[in-house]
Amino acid sequence: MTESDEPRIVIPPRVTIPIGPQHPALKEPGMFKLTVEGERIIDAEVNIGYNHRSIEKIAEGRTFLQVLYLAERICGICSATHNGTLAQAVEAAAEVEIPERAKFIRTLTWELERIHSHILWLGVAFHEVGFDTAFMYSWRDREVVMDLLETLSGNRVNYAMNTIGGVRRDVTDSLKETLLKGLDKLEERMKYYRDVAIYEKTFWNRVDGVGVLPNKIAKSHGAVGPTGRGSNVPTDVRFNDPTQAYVHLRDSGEFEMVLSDREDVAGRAIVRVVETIEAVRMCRWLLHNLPDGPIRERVRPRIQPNEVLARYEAPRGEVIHYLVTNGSDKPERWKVRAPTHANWVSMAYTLRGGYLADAPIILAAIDPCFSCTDRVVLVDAEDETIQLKPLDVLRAESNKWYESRT
Amino acid sequence: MPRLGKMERELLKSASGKQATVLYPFTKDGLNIPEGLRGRWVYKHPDACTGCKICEKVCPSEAIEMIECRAEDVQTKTGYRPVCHFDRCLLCGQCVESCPRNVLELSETFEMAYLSREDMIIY
Repeated sequence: MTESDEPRIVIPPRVTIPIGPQHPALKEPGMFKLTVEGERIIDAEVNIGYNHRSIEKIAEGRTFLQVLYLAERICGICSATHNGTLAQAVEAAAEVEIPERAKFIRTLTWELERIHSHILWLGVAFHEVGFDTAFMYSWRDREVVMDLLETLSGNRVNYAMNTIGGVRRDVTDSLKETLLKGLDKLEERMKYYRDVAIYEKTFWNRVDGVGVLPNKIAKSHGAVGPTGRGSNVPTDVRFNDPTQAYVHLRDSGEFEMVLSDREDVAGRAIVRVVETIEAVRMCRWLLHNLPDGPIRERVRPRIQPNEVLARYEAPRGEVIHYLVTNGSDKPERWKVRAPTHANWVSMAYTLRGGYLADAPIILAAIDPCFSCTDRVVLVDAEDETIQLKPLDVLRAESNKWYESRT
Repeated sequence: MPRLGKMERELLKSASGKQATVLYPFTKDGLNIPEGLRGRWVYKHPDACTGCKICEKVCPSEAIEMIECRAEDVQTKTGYRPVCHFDRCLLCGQCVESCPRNVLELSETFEMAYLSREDMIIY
């Protein structure tokens, strides 16, 4: 038998595409090595740790009050999250109970932040699949909640609402009216965007069945937040281990954890959109049931030696603040586990088996911060030429590839 | 006949609607600056200031410096007064909150771009 009679096995060239660290689809620098065969992603590797800002170490040299403002700057979108969770941790370490009204206002800020974060994500998701009309419309309506937050706290991004022992600003009656009016508008708009996300084919066809994360894998890889809930993992600190006014919200029986058993990007999108509507309802409930009383408790600056763990369900998932105090006015050790960190691992799984053109939306689906000046390096396997491609070029090519398929 | 998209009606409605953005540098109408915005730092009531240095101590970004009162300043009890290095300011408002005599204020001025660092020292 000669060699030519044997069936020839043609192996398509394997190309490894590094995305990042400076970078692909994310503001937080991360490094993704995608190994592709043709258009299929067969392996994904995630490396992180490129953006070491030394925040935890800086915090050890500052007083608790000053660390609050530092914590706020961990993330621009989740500023109230880190600010409030640290305040919660310090209050637990000092063993003080904050007034009920402060708890309600703190929760209100958190929920308003969730609304703005989820609308932001929805806009980004629309943008990633090339549906820019809905992106611009949803971000226009996001301004409503941004204005509400600005009126409530005095700043659009870094709210600085929490202080150790309560909150810094009160909700007056006239502000309450403004908030309720804004919430009505938001609810109406969000119901519309829910329908757009589900019934508009431009969006739905690009996310349906893409980036599948089976329930079992989501559990074993420790997915949190909407990524986990989109795979039917009941993980939501607001209901599992409520703090602040979430205890009252849960006990009222009017709110339920939003889950989806779709397990794909569409499932995660539905969870986020429905959760936004729930968050609007929660805000309204909080405003209607706002108790009277003081908004802050005086806490001495020196906190007794203690070791505490504070949890809160941030818009992207569970955030953990671990704090060790030593009797001085500065923390001994402060550790933050942000939700995106927990979701990296499961994201690497979801990338495998998908198309390269789906990579932007799969990366976006865990809701990391998106950058506009990112680059992707494409290495050609044959002649090893390297091309630097900005994300918008990659996105345009992805969209073109999808058009040519139909 | 191709089916109309979900957003068709919305698009038509918006075509005749008001513009969502503001032509900002040319007009400030529609910016909706809220009451209580944390804007530019102001040394508002120098008469009440005792020069106690609390604002300097609480500032998370070391933006406030206590200098000796100059001849043209209101002389405080301790002989010191705060100045704000605004390039470092986070606009958190902790100094305003911690001041026992309400001397400081974050005003509603939101245009805070300057050409040099020297211009950003607020006396």
